[in-house]
Amino acid sequence: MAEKFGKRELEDVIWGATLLGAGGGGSPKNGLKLLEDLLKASPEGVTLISPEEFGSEEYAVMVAGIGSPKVLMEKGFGPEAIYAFEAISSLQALAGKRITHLYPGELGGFNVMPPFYVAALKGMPVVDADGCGRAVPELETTLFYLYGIPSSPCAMADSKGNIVIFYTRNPMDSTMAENIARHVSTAFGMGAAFATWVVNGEELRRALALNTVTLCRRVGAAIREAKERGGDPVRAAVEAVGGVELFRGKVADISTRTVEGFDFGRFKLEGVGGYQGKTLTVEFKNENMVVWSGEGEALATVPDLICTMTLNGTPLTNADMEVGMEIAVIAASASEKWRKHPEGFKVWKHILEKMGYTGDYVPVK
Amino acid sequence: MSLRIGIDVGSTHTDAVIVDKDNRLIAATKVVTSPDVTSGVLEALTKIVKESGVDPSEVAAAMFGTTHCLNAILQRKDLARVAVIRIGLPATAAVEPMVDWPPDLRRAVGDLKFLVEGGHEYTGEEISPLNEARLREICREVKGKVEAVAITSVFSPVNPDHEVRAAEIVREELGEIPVTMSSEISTLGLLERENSAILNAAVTFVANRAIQAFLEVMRSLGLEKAKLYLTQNDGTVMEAKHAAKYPIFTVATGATNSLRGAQMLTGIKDAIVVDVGGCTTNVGMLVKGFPRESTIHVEIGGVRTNFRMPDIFSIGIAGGSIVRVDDGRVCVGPESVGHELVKCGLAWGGNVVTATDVALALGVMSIEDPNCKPELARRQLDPELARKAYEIIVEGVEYAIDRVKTRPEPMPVILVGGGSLMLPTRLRGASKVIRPEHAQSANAIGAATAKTGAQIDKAYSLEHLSREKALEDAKISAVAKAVEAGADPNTVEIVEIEEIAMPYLPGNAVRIRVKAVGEIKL
Repeated sequence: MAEKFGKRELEDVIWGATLLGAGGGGSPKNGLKLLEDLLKASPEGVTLISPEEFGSEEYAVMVAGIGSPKVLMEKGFGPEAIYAFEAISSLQALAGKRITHLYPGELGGFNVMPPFYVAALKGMPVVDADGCGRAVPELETTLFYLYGIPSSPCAMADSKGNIVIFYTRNPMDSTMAENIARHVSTAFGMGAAFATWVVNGEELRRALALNTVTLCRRVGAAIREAKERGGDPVRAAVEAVGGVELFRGKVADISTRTVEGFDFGRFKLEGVGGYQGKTLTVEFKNENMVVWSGEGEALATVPDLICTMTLNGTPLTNADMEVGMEIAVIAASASEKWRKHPEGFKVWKHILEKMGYTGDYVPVK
Repeated sequence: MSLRIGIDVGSTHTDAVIVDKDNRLIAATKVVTSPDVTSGVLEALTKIVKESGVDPSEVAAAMFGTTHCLNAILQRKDLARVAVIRIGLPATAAVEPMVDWPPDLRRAVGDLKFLVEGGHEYTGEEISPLNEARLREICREVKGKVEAVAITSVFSPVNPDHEVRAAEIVREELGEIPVTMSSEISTLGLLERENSAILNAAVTFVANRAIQAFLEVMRSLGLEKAKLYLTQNDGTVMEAKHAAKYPIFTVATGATNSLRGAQMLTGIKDAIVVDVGGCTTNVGMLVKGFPRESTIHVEIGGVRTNFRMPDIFSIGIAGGSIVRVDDGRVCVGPESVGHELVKCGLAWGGNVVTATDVALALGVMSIEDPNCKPELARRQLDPELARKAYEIIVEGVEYAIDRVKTRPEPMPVILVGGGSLMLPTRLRGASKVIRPEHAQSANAIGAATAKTGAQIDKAYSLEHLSREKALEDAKISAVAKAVEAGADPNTVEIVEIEEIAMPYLPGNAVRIRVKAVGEIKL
């Protein structure tokens, strides 16, 4: 069913996506800035359609930002997304594919928004699905990779309108695609947009996480409403995502190091309230990968979502976390698309091993 | 020539002290803060000079911690109309300057904004050349319509060249007008830095007027040899002529002066400080003798900013807080009788129950004031209500201490401020509770004994520069800034260096923040 998503709905989407970004997915502050701008172009918002409404002969594309959040904070974001979208659209038109829809590549406080921005300016609808059902650190840890949606050709653009289109020899070679994209974004001053993963209705339903934009909206709305009526926003979030509350504590320590453009690190919590006297440690590579109890037991792992929010109801990315904050850790089941695929855990193993985790997938109940 | 005067404007009282060269307290006084702030400050200054009987020619320095600039922003009064110039096209066009400002504040600063081609990449290379012709056009357009200019260029914390050049052009076209360059105010984050620069430009007016008023009264009192300083957000002071350029750095000085005063009075460099005033209690942390600073963006008057501010947690529970029963529940604050305590409080024969009355009734504090009669409070207050209210007061303060504390281990807690007598000598989270002598004048003592300082927060791309060179450059800039602010070059030292890695940026981009502090140069 098609539905108009205006200011209120999209704000809820941004906060819900921040939680479901599982520690990554970009800053909600930048997402909210993009929303302000989107509403100037299209005050009534953007139409969202369900995956079932999206025809098998229709084509949708993903648009996202790439680069550094620091650059985004200086140069803003917007024109590059339009340039990248237009480049991929003309290219696909040559192949007889007319792009009429957009969808987000992943969930996250910023990353969920670029397709809505482009959709608003182009007067197109967004499909209620995304390529990960969460935020992810690598192209290899996407549902696109798992289900064989090629990342080539890919269009990239900067805010001046410089455009690069590239093909990889093997369309599924995400390592090469990622490598090229990083070098191009460096040339673009570390602030760029990219557009790729063109899918038709059948492919979208087969490969993507479905109905995840409306899920973000429900989660965001549940948190907001709990705050408005003075309830417990953490409990509301747990119920809305259908997950479990793992911990409530004060951030005692955060250690990070940047390796090849990724934030590796861990944060440690000291329990408050019912968790007094206990500790919890979360390891992340941009996104949260594994949670250890104080006794050294792995309580949850990727691809399930290890999400954080402050006790007073602000979903949190690792980049915004600070020592001294009181936060809750919530675990939620990953999309069925991850859980049902035989490789759904395997693609994450090389990251987990770097963090000293060699065990099996620990599914959230 | 060895005395210093310190004055601090609070929401209820304006405090003044005189200290000698060994930072010993010579005299202290307080007056009620006036609505216009200036007359209260002048009254306090006149009073302390006259009452103390010191020889005015012996006063070497006067340090003022004032709320002029903060009030101007909050009340949208006396603000300069600002030409807002952003250098960054073709990037940055997506979000307009001041887009999320409260409309009344935007109108108060004139709402004149312009985007110009120019700016830099994170590497320091030009995005596009600065469009000087367009800049001159803008200047002619705003001539006579603005009293200040704020210039913000993309990635100016990495490369300020376009801001510097633009400021030159503005001065050529508009003559002597206050020009704020964003790179001198704060760090990365275009919108927040731009907001900070605009606010700075907007308060240059009111800051200059206050400084002129202070200087006049100092002259009339014979304080001709005394240098005038304004206290700033980080707990140091800057000379008046420097403050006139960077007035935004004075907006949070009330809380920091108390923290610095607590440090002076106790000699303790790492502690939690609880400053109990008439309307609010501010809790902050001293780290190596200076107030810990906030790392998150702070909103001022509804505007998101990113210049350095002290990390202060405030609660609406203080000496004048009104105690009442709502639906069977006991509440304390946030409403307060403020300086009317000595008229409205039960112990002064009034009919309002205040936090101070509760403490008096329970016998946990005494006040040296012949008009204050604790038995009046004791007789009228239900003991159960008093006990419950006191519990709320203590719990509120303990909660604030816990919020400010980043480690679970207990820390020393220093109590200062006029209302601090009502707090107990044992608090949760405190390894010990210290209430120093002269605690009620800690804020003014903090101002009087402050050092001069400055900090810089710059971004460097280490692609064409070694880390050592970058650090050296940052230190040199910080020392130069401190000297410009009035520090004696021979005493300046670097008290803090912070390197912040910038994620996702190749070529090792870093932010370096350096704070330099020295003795005031007399």
